[in-house]
Amino acid sequence: MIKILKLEIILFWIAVGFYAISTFMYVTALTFKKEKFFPKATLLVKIGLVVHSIALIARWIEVGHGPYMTPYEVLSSNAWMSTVAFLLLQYRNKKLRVLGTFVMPAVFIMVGIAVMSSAEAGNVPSSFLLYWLIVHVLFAKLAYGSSMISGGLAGLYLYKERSDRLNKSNYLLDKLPSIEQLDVLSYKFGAFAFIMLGVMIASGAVWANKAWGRYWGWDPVETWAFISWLIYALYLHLRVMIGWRGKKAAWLAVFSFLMVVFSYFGITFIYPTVHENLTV
Amino acid sequence: MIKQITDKVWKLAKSRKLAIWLIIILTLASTIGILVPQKRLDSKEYQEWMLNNPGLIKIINTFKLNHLFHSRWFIGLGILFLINLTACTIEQVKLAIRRWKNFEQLNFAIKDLNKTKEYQVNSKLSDTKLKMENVLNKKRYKLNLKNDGLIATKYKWGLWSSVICHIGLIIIIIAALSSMMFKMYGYDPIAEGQVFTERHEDYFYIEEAPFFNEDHLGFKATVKDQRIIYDGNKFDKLETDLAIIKNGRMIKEQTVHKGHPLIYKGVYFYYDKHGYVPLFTLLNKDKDPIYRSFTFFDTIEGKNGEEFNMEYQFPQTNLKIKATFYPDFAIKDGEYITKTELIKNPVVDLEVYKSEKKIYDGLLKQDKPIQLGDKTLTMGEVRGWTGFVISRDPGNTPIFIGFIVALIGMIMIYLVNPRRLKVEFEEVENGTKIYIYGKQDKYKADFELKIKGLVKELYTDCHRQATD
Repeated sequence: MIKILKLEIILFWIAVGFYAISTFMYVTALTFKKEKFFPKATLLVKIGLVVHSIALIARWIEVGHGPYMTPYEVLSSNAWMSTVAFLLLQYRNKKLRVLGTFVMPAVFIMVGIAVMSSAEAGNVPSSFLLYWLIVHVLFAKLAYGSSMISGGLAGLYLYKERSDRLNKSNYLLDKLPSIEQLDVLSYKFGAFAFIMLGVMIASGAVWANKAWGRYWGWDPVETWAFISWLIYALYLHLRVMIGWRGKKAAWLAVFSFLMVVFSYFGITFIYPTVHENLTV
Repeated sequence: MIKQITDKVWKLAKSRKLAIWLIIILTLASTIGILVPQKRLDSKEYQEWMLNNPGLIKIINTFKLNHLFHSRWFIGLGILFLINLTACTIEQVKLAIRRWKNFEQLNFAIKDLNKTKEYQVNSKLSDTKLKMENVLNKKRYKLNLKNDGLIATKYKWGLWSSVICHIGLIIIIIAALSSMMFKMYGYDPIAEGQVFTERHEDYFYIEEAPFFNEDHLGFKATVKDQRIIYDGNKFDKLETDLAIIKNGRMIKEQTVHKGHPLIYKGVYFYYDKHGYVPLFTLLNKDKDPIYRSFTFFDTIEGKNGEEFNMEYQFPQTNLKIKATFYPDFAIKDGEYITKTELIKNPVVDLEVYKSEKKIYDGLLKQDKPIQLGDKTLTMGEVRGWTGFVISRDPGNTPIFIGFIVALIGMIMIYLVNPRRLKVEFEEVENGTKIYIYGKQDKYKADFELKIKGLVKELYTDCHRQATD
């Protein structure tokens, strides 16, 4: 077991290396207008993701449960999901490669914190592993990934809109989809994050009811997830009912993403919670 | 006059702006509920926080911010939200019915997509119409033929997605409120062989909602057996065989463990924690028993797999004990430990006080009596106990149904976008002119791209067929 875990850690470090270089290349590409860096950076992300995936599978096989028990596992798997979401998006729309400038630094920070935390395997009692918990964890990761993409697209929107407004020409930004398209994409991922958060909260509540005899306990992480969901609800309602578009909607999408990040990695630092496994 | 007032109230109740403000206020209130430590979460933390924030005490007490999620104003906010949500949903239902009826009407258009999407093919009008129908049929559009063209619709049932989602949320809120009004939530530890009655005064702890109706079901429950399951060397779970007895007959038996409660007529028995109950016998100097009972040892902070502790004052004596129980006692590096949770070598680490003065500090082993002055204490048979959370909640199933309905609605909102296409034909000299309009409720910019692609595809297909 120790040998496989060691291998997993080595693979994880290699993935971190690929992510670090790709982050550097994305930022350099956008800052110094080096367009040729984008495909190379994306290739590095793909290689990093393959190595990262092998590391996660190796760990899963060895410890006998999915990557959700320790901070190391949670951060690593959330980074994995965000990277997958980004790669899928840029695969469908090559113009969105530049989104890596926003997504990859966040991924790099996550895996960076993960490598600093203990990689020791956590013990999961079999009674803990109900189907609802697996659904809860899976949708938590999807929520995180889609929220990050929505926030990243909103960030791109704001960046491009500002450049357009100030007449700062950047031919890389010109190659992006129109700001209207960025706005719609950010909205779509925001709506997706809202549903994923909803499923995450609902499945967590059903699991809690089966385990503890209550759906809701106002635990700090529960409450903050509820707050994040409400903020996404607000974002969607403001768009649909009041007609918020553009800058205001983009800022709210970025804010919503920050709220989601805080519910995963901020609130656990401040308050005691039943989600002890998220505490770094 | 009355109508004017009711109209105004209804207008306010169904106001979308009110909905937005209520979401904002609920968000802020929930944030305050996190920032101010809640009493029931951690009272020690709450006390410390209050000492560090003396200036806020008055505000906190006035608005019950330390018990926010159960305060009247927060529940009132929830009820207000429910009213607004219900009114908005009624309006949505009306709108959905209206749009359902008019979905195939021609009077719509989409910004930037007027007759710019026009092209000409060299086939006759009737042939072109037929070809267009084939193309749209392949794309699973439902067609409604008109004299001058056709209306193609898709995902009409998506008009109900928002209504379904909101109905789900309404069910959840009503169920949660009914829980708060009618729920019973209690806790009781039951030792192996012990019989638990459902009389509420016998519970170790019980919370009854204001309108809970204590109609006795007339059953008893008993723990027949409990087993500790190991995964390798690590404690995995505790399984308890719980039986329901009515009129002296066992009517239900089930193994209960975490996540697998026993349910009997709406009463749920959830596993919560477990411990041990050794039989203590205290004899006086004449060897007559003055105490003989199974005594509960609880886990530290309710965590399993650690030490089991208790403090106890023997009745009708001035003897008080503080004890830690080890089911499988061993000494490691000078520390007392339990090797497993199995009852293999039960030992109690015991301190005995007589009128606050310590008179004994040592180990008590099974069936090996110790002298406490003129009295004798013995630990005999050791059994296990299971602590059950026992609840009866009318909101339990409706909340679950509400989750499912709301999720179906949310997924529909995201994936099912009602679409309409209007195609007009005009006979011209060398063939037929085609005009295409489109409309989708959401992601309009995205749909404009899609419709551009569709127009291109229709043109290519019609043109190819015309050429053929």
